[in-house]
Amino acid sequence: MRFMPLFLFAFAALFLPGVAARAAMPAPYTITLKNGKFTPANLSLPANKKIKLTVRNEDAMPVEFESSDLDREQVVAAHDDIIVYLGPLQSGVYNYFDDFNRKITGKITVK
Amino acid sequence: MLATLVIVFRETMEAGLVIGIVLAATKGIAGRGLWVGLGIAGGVIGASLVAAFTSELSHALAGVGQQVFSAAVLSLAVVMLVGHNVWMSRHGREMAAKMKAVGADVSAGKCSFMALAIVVGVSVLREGSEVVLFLYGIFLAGGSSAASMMLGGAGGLVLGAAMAALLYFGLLRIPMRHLFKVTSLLLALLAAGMAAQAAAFLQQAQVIDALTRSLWNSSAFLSQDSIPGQALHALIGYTDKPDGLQLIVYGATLSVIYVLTRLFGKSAPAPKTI
Repeated sequence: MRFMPLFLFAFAALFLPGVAARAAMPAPYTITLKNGKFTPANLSLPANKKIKLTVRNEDAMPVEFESSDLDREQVVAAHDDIIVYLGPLQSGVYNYFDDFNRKITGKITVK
Repeated sequence: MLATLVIVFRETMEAGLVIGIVLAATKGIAGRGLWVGLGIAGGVIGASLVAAFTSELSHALAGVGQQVFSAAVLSLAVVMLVGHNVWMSRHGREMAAKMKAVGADVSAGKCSFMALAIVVGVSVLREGSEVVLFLYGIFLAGGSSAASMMLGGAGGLVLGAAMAALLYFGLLRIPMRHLFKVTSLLLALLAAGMAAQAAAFLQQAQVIDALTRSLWNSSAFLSQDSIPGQALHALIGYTDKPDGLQLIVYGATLSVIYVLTRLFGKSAPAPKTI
């Protein structure tokens, strides 16, 4: 496994500049989970724009913010938040749910 | 309890399928149990670490730490899979022949099986970190339902392991002289699927911001959320809404494996009959 550090270095060199260069600031939005409910239950987002969505978990249980409509799957620790970069999205309704408790759902309407 | 069982099963199934293929691909090789065991153990330790540092990982790299980390470990697994397949193209035939002649375990290249152990480790790490986080959450929540939910979690783990066994024994029905050809093909598809998934993670992090429009939507035909859809996702990288980059990376990975195995496989001291 001599080439492992080399591989990791190559990976970092290739992709990390992209993280830094993600310059154009997208519009910020927030979804909050509290007492087993996402608020707003139906978030409106503009179409064809880059979106920076913060998902905040105010409950004591970790959640997995998942949406096959949006093709996203990210865990959120208890009392923590994550950032989900989206878009540009086409107009329509996008469902999401907590993969750790599929009864907890919400949707995003893009128009 | 049932809900917990389904959640844990969903998460462990994917790693279970990878373990099933790897076990079949190393059939009859001395010491493979140790390698696979090490892979699983390493994966579980890694999963616990990732779960413990979920918050730190989420906030790293301007909020895309989770995705970049996933892409990195998936890429590592892809490199290992490609390496193993190239190695097998050289030695697979002689190994199968030896096993048939001796009818016993043969010793094989350590490096190649270390590579497969890393692939197992990566799969267990990726799926396992979510299981650990989920079960830890239940444990923290405590209460009377916690015990029954933990029981559900254990049931999910057993079912995930059963999937591994099912795939493994299914593959073993293939005659020995074809077995390694089939497992090499499965490992190549696994590599392509993992590479496409790594690309998808980099797109989600917007590290790569190209070809993001999905080309088709086959979710009505086979949803990725369904258990069969998820199993196919784990095995061959099935995605119901693939985009251009994912498709290109998928095809490119298969092509690279094909070319490399052709290139290196030819110089092998193999019998003429194929």
